[in-house]
Amino acid sequence: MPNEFMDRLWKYATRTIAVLLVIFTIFGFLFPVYTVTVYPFSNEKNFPRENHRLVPPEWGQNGSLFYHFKDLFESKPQVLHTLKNSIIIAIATTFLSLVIAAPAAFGFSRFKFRGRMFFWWSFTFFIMLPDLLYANALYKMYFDLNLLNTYHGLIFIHSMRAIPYVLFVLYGIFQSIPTTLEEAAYTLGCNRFQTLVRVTIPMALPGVAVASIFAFLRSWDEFVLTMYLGGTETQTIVTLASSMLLGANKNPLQASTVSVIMMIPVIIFIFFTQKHMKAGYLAGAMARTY
Amino acid sequence: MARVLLKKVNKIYDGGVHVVKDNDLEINDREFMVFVGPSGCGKSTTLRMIAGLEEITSGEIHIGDRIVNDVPPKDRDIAMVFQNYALYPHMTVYDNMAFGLKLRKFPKHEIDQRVKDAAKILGLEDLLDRKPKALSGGQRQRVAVGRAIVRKPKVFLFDEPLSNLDAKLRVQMRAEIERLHHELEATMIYVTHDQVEAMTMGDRITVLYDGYIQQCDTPLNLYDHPANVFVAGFIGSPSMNFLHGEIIQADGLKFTNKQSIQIPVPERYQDHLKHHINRPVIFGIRPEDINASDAQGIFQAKVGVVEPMGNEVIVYLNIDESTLLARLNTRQIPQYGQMMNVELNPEHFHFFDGKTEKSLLI
Repeated sequence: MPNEFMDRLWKYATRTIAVLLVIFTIFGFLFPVYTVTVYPFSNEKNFPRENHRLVPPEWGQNGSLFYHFKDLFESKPQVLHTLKNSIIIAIATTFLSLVIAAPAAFGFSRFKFRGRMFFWWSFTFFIMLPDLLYANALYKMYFDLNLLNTYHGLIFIHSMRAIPYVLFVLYGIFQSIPTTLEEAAYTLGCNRFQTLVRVTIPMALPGVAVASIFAFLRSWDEFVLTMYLGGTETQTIVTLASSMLLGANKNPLQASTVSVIMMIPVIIFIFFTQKHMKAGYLAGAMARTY
Repeated sequence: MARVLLKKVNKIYDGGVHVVKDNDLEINDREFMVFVGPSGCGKSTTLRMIAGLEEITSGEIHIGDRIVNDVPPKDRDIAMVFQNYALYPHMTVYDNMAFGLKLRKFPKHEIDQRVKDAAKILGLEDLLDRKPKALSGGQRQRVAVGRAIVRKPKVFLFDEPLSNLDAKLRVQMRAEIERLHHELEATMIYVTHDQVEAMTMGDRITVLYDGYIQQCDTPLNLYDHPANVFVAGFIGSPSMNFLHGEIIQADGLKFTNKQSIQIPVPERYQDHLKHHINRPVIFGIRPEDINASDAQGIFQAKVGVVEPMGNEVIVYLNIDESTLLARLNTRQIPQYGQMMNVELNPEHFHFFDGKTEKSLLI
């Protein structure tokens, strides 16, 4: 009898926790996305001020669904420029961090060398350091080297922040690829570099996809370092949007509009990378089933 | 086409494990050489050193007229087939087979020709557009073999290529690899732990154990004249029977296990054994050389487990504390517990030194 009671109690407790988690997820993650997304498509005169509405009573404003977007481009013409900057810097960061981290991850995964653990932990350490520390430390150097407010300066620092993540993801996937497949490549006529480029990376595509999404987002959302080390010409859309949430001229509606615009390239990028994220990427390679 | 030469080859791993010890071996041009031995004997490591996938700690390996110690695998003119197939899942069968040729910048029509020829030999013509995951185990291994033969290398290396296939397919692929050896006329080195594969495929067999080459000879010579107890026990199934005992001088030389068995030493072995009187000796006899006798025979043994196989019967014979396996060509199946008069075929006696375990007859 007490056992049965405990079993029931346990069942209800776990169920309650599960339901609470679902509610928390919806309100914690999805609800903010919903409100921000809906905001620029509503009429600012009656949403969301009246009665704390969830659904705008009216879509669009002045007869146009995209009124706030038009308004944004007219009042802040630099939006387009910052959007372009963000895309250039994010794609270049993704590319650069992959090019640097892939051979590094291959090396960590396949070879033993002096100082291996030291280098490995130093990457972990880099992740722990706050952006502000880098901004502080690099400002003088960037100034001396004329890197402030340049694309390559920002791409460089964004890559530095993205590389550890890319490295960890690629290391994990390289570890999952049997070394026999590389040995076969050596006997077929590959040198080490050809093996990495023609055999290992194509098989590691799911990991490369995940890693590139990490790198892209790391750059796309990068605020502190861009703020300090960038400038007007290289301003990214994130720093522009942030300025709309701060100070005397703050304008949450415009900030929401920019946020929605910011989502589009990310969605496109993930759309093209996620199709490589699949299980069974080693199926058929080995005698053992993967 | 090339011979492969190993001179005093050693492999010591970082941790100090010595897996290949001072091995000398010459593999002739166009020979089918099999490396056989239990796991950990160094056979795969030796093959991988020939391929260039493992560094050679000391010694020399020659392929053709070259010392290849410092030559990377891609320049050794070898092709290797791996136990696990190691196909590229992101490439079609065609691309898997063409991969090595593309790397070597062969012209397109030549690649196409060679891949199609190989596909024809291996019966893969209809599968060229498939990805490896859409193939069966046997087909995958065929692709792996195809990938090796399109290259037309000097030396083929096989690392237990059939051990992941089921028994029936293994027999079939075994014959196919033998056929390839005749058609391609290339040097082939084949690693296996399966002594049946070794016996059926090899022109010569190298038996390895504990890092040392125990013996290298033709299959029949290994079977008939094993150099030591290990080779004698490893080659042949069921294994050779061994009796520990000594040689005594009693009405001519005799082997005795110091209990109820006394076996007269045949005339032609007397010279070999006369210096071993009263010294420990191991007597070996293969199961097929033990027969049931209507007459008195050499000794009497009690029948233990009986395993009828159809064409033959495997009988466990108990005598003293020893068990001998006999392979009898009879359909009269002995009964458990019955006494049997045992006769031994003196043509195929084996005697080994009781301490060094080396053959006393060679």
